[in-house]
Amino acid sequence: MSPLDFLGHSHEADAPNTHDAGPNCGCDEFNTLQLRLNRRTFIGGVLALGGGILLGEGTGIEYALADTPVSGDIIISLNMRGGMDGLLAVQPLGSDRLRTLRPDLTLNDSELLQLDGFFGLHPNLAGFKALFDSKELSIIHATGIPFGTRSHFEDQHSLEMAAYESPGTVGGWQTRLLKNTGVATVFEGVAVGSNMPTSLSGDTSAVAFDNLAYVKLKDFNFDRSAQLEVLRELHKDTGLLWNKSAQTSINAALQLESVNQATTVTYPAGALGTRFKLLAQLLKSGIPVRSANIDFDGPLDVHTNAGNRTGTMATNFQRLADTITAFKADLGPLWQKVTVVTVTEFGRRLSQNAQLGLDHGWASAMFVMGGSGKGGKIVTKWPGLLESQLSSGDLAVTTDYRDVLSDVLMNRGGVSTTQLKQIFPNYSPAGLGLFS
Amino acid sequence: MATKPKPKPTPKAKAKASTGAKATPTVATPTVPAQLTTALAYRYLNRLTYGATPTAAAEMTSLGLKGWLDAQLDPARTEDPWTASQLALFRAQGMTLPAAIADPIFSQRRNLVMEEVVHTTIIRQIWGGSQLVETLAEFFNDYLHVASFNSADLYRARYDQDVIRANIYNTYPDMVWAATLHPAMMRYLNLDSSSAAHPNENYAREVMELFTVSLTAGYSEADVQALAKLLTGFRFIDSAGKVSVDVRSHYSGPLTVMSYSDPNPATTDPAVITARAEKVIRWLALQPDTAKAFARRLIRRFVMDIPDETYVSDLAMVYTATSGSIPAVVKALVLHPMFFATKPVKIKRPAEHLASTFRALQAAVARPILGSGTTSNGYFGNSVINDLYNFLNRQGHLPFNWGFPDGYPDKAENWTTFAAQLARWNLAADMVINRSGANFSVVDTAALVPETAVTNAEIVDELAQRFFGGNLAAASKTAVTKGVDSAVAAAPATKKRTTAVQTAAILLLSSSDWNLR
Repeated sequence: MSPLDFLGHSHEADAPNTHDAGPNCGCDEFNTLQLRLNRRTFIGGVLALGGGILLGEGTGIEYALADTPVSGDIIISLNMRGGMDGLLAVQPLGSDRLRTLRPDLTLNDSELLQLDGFFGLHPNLAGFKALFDSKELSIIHATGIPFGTRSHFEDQHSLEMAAYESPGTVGGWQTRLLKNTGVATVFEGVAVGSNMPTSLSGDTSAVAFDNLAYVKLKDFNFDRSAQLEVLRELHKDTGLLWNKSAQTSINAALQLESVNQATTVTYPAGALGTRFKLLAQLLKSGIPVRSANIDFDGPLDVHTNAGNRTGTMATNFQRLADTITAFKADLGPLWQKVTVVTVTEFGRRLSQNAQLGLDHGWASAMFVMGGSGKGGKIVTKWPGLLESQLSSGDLAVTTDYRDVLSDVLMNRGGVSTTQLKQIFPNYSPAGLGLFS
Repeated sequence: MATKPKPKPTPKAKAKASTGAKATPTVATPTVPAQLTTALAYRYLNRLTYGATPTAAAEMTSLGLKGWLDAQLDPARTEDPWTASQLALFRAQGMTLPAAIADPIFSQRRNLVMEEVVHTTIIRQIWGGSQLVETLAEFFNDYLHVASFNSADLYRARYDQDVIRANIYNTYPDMVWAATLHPAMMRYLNLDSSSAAHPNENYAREVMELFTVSLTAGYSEADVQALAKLLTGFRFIDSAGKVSVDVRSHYSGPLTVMSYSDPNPATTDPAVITARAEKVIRWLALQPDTAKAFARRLIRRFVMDIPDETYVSDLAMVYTATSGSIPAVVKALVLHPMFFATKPVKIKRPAEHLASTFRALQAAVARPILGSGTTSNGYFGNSVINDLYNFLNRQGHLPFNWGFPDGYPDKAENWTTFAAQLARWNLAADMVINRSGANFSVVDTAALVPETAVTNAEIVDELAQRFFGGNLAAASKTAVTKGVDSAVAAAPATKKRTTAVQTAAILLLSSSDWNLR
């Protein structure tokens, strides 16, 4: 067994590895055992919450056209929906135990892209390695949601609500970000996809679409201004969610007519590339997006044949890194004004299953990217991989994903301490120093 | 449940308040309304089918609501002749599993089987005569969802027919058990690769969380793991064409799932292992928590986003009393005071919107439904079915294409999106002014309005009656008429009537009223 597998190296469980990660307080309060004991109670709370959200009433968001430029970066949540394996993406070096538990789903240390001497990056994430080296990407490991149920639906919902301590909170975390940091405008919240995610729920001025051609308002064979007037008139009772949203849709369609679609950058084939390309078009055309959600285009739920050097996950990593690389190139100087953060509902089980796949686990890794110039960090309180260090057989969560989001919002999103309390109610984030 | 959100003005709260006061027009009528008016028939049809039409409303008022339910849920009911002739053009639905597996095209391109089910589903929704069965088929395909575009596709036609459609007339426990050992579900949620040495928890978790008791039952991880072990050993091998049991892969030893126990001793008899699986699945499907979860989901689908808890309890009682009879619970859903008392508050999902628009406009196909060009699979070129497929795909509602086992969501906020609203306004205009290509017949809107309607207001009235059965909000009618006035004023003399009819149709179909049911 490698000494790295238990409390050796600089990754002692009670002397958490912080690398160059600045302050690391409040760790003792993170009592995993206690949290897990309370889990069942908590599921009930989250469920009740899910059933209790009524939209279109009292969300406090009124539609307006943007008139002042926003301060802070455009915050892009890249949702690795399906449960991304963090250990194949960012593998601890020299871990015989990991190789024993998942012999077919690990790589040799020599194949990994070297980061800090403790972790190595999957070779297909070479684009991320370049960003790491230029201080435009940081990695947070053994991170995740505080109360994992290993159910996609529950965990995805609670991840996007991000209100574990406050059942009854209305709207997802991105909606609360928008609501608490300024005037709500059309396109302030954009989901580049065909469905509105929970993280943007409760905001009827947020928009979801994935192709400009499909959101062009066609003419009704009569005068355009008369058409717009009657459409607005038909939806004037904005007590109804559909109508309130329709008013936004009409104005949004008009704004989109000015989007410039020209680009010299080639994105990887597939939905992820298309989505980031569209987001870049919006940003370059001055559409005032404040926060966006993009779903990864899977498949990450690798119960069978996850693959290591090649295969499903290797292909996923290649597309992920190449898409972000293209997005950065496409944005040009605007890259300095965006921060992309990946989230996922859970990582995968430590041991591979009989079908060379990975069932639902708990902790995973997160990537924070953008032009801040403060990247190049790996932040983790590495919990270890010994049986006694695992949580129901899985890598334990030692960093709440909201600590990562909080660092991003406070340091890059122009969010104040007071506003942060509204975004993550009753939660006190531990500063990770991601941007110190 | 540990905590409850603060009460919102749900239909339940309103109904309770009004029942107490006996004062408002939303008071629940405890029995079937004595007078089934055309307006009420439209309201109920919009909820239970893919869109009311004058013909359907006349049928319902003549049969009465109970008679209509019986007729719709009659297992001997046959499809309308034209629709049946179109459905007959698709090959997969008539094939046995071994035939599909051996088919030279389907065996190479499994997704074509699934795509045929997508196409036949859309055709049935728009042009089918068994409309209630069709909404139920969609409901149960979402409930026991097998997502598309994976290796389960090859078995998707038989799953739709043998698991979903065949069991609509039976019980929900029958349906869940049929799904459990169907190759489509086994492949989708990995039951066919679960073994004693490596139990795959995927199916066990979802059958408890999504298909039966749901998380409100308060079970533990250990319960999920025990169920996974009890369900180990089942296999589906294409060359055999049927489900088998690999007895060596079956876990043996006592197992406890919630309050259910099975000593599960070692056996070499596949029939015993299968019987144990059936017993636990049926036990789960008959739990009071399942009855409630089923009722809640059914009410959410057909009547209201936030199901009224009394309504849920009433239906759960019927479920339990009838051992989960689907026709019994569906009839109880409809013949319930809350069904009559609830106004149209559901936002149509894209499939309902598309079908109801086609039905309202009496849109017909103008070319062979499969298209004429030869493509790699022999059809599906530039065709009617491709247009319909693309329209739903762009709104994120292609049948079976939801990426998670919980099926498409069913609340207003999920479908009230920018893209959906633009797509719906554009569809209304494209259909009415015949901009949707040559695949559909010209919608002759003039023929929808009798000559006796002359003024713009009269034309709007005629179309409003046809589309809404008289239920259109006055404010909407005023706004539409104003728009028609404006369009007609700008039109040349020879085109004034056409403009009036077309504009009225587009605007009526662009209203929020059209998107509610």
